[in-house]
Amino acid sequence: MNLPLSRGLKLRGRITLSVAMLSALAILSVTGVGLSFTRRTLSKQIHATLRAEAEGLKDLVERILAEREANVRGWSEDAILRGALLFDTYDKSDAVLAGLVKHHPSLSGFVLFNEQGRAVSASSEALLKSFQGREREVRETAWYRAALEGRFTADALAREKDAAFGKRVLPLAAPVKSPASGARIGVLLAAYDWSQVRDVVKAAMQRARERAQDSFALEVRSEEGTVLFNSRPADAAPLVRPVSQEAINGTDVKDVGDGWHFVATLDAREAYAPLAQAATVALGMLGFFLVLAVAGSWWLARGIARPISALSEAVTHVLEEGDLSHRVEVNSGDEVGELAHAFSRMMEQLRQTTVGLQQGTRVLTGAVAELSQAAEHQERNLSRQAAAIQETQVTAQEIQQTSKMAEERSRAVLQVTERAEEVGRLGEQTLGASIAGLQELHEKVGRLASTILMLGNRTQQIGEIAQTVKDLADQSNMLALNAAIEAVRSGEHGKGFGVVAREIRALADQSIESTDRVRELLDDIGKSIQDTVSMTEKGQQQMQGGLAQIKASGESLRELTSIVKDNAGAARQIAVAVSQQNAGISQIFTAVSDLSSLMEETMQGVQATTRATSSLREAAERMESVARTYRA
Amino acid sequence: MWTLVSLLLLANVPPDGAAQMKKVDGLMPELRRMATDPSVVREVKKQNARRVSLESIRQWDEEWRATPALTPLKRQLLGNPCARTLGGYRERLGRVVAEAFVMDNQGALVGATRRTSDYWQGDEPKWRQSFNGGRGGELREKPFFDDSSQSYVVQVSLPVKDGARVIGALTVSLSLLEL
Repeated sequence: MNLPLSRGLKLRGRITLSVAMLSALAILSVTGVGLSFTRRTLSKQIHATLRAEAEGLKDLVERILAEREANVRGWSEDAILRGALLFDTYDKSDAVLAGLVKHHPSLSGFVLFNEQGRAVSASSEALLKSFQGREREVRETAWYRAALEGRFTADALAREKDAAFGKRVLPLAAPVKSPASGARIGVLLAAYDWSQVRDVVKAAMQRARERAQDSFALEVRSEEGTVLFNSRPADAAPLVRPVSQEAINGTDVKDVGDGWHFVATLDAREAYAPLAQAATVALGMLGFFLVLAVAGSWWLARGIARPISALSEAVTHVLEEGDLSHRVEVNSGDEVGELAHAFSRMMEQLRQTTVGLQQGTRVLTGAVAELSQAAEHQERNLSRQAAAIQETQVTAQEIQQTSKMAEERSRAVLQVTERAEEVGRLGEQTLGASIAGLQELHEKVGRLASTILMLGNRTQQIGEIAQTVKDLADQSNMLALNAAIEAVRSGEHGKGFGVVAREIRALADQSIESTDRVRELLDDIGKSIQDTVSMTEKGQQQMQGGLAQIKASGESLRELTSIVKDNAGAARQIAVAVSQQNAGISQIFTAVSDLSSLMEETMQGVQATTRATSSLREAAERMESVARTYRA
Repeated sequence: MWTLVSLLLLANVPPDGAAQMKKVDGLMPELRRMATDPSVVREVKKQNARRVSLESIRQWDEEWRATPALTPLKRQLLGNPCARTLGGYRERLGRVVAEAFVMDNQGALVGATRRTSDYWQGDEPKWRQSFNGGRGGELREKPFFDDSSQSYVVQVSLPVKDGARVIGALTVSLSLLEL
């Protein structure tokens, strides 16, 4: 409905208006169609009824007349009547005619006339007397003449009252013939009581009264239009709008009424009275149903619009106040009620979702805060660790340098030892060749003694270096231990570093063991040098005492030479150990460098984690602000 | 006289009726033979010889009319030789003869072909004129409708004679339309 009027209306008004208009339209059209159809049907029915009544009257009158005519013909052939006329004896015929009148109340009387028109026999003596002396008159009547011709006529019916019968009669006269020759010997007159027609139409009038058609009338008119019978009283007022149907008595059945018109008449106002009544009732019903439709549609519209308004209010409230705790109260169980319930369920779910979201956001925010704290802590730790590693790297570099120095020193020791060995050998050779050169030797031994002293000092220095190496190794060990712990704490990223740290530790342990052994050797060397020194001093002291002892000295010298040899071997071993240690320290340095670069990567990773955590925090904060928009 | 009566009777009668009544004339010789039949004469003489008082006759007549039942008297009158003779004639003449009965010199029945309405006919013209104190003649009455035979009849009465003396009367009902 897009009527301009309906645009300004709310749903309730529109539904009410639509239903009312539809109902009015439907009822009006149905009533209109029904009334017009009923009018047509009623008109048809009325005409059919009138025609049926007219036809019925026609058939009835025709039948009665035909029957009476047949009766009269039959009676005219009665042997008694014939015999009476033949033998001019009428006692029996009088009795017969009286009997006939008694048995046929519709006939007013019978009169038997002879050929001269004299009444010879009658159903009653009075009747016979009334025809006395009227032979000529009788012979001139229409019925008598018709009877002579062997037919019936209704001409005499026009007369209001028959003089002989004292009432309006239809004279039915038939010739009486001789049984012997067939010659006419008289005429039998039967007077049909015309007032009997009123009895004939009585049933039809009763039917009309039952149909509530009081204006219904039946008329019989002659071919010329003379009213022969009318059921309406002569003084009755004429009908205003007469509706009539007529039936004409045809000649298919020969009778006195051939050509008569049988007319059934009815007042149209009365005929269509049920229709007018129905229209009034329909109008009343239209009003009633219109009111009912308006009330029903208003109620329906109210039922539809009220929950929708409630829903609309609820949505507006949620939008404006962000309050999801608002409840929609709808008590109807129809589709709109289902919608409201679904909306309520949606609101409830939304509320629960919001509560979950808010709780989740809170938890998320907390977790993010903790995470960022942990990330910061980790970053700090890692920074410290990186610094430590850097220190370790520097220290390792120092150790490397020291280790190289130790190597150089040990090489120098070796050279010295080799030279000592050579010197020993030379001394031995010289001892064997020159005793003279004992002095020189003595000097030389003195130099040797001082050199050995120097060697002892150097050896002591080596021991100190070895101690330093051991300390470094101890420190490496400690660092590797720390690195391993940190690697474990770094998780997946620290695994490789852990392995390296373990290696470093193992190497440091080996370094410590080697340095221990170097110290032991150096201690031995120290002691030997001390002994040599003391022995050289003794030899120097004893050289003066005896040549004999030179041999012993030569022996001692040899012994010394072998010791020196041993010493040289030991120094060589030290050099090898130092060089091995150097390689190990280089490895430590490389490992620490790797560790440092690894730590840098870890740091980058941790920084990325921190960045991600901060953006996560921002997201969590945004979510929380969104979740806070709604009150659950 | 006979002709005069006939003319009077036929005055208002149509030709067909007159013709039928004329046919009675043709039957007259046979009826006269009936009236002179020796058995009829013998039976009349026999009854006359009994000289029953008129008083008794009137009493019997009353008894006769009191009941339509077949009393012994009725049975005797319908079954005696006279009645049988009449029946013989009736059979010979056919349905023309609706009825025939013979009366004695007092008008009482001697024999009949069927039950008559009265036993004593002494008060009726058919006996009075045809017997007429022993000088009676033939009589033809006005036709009438006979309920017993359900037909129009004309009653012809003839004197029953013993020699030249009239001793009784014979009445024959002739069905006019059977003639």
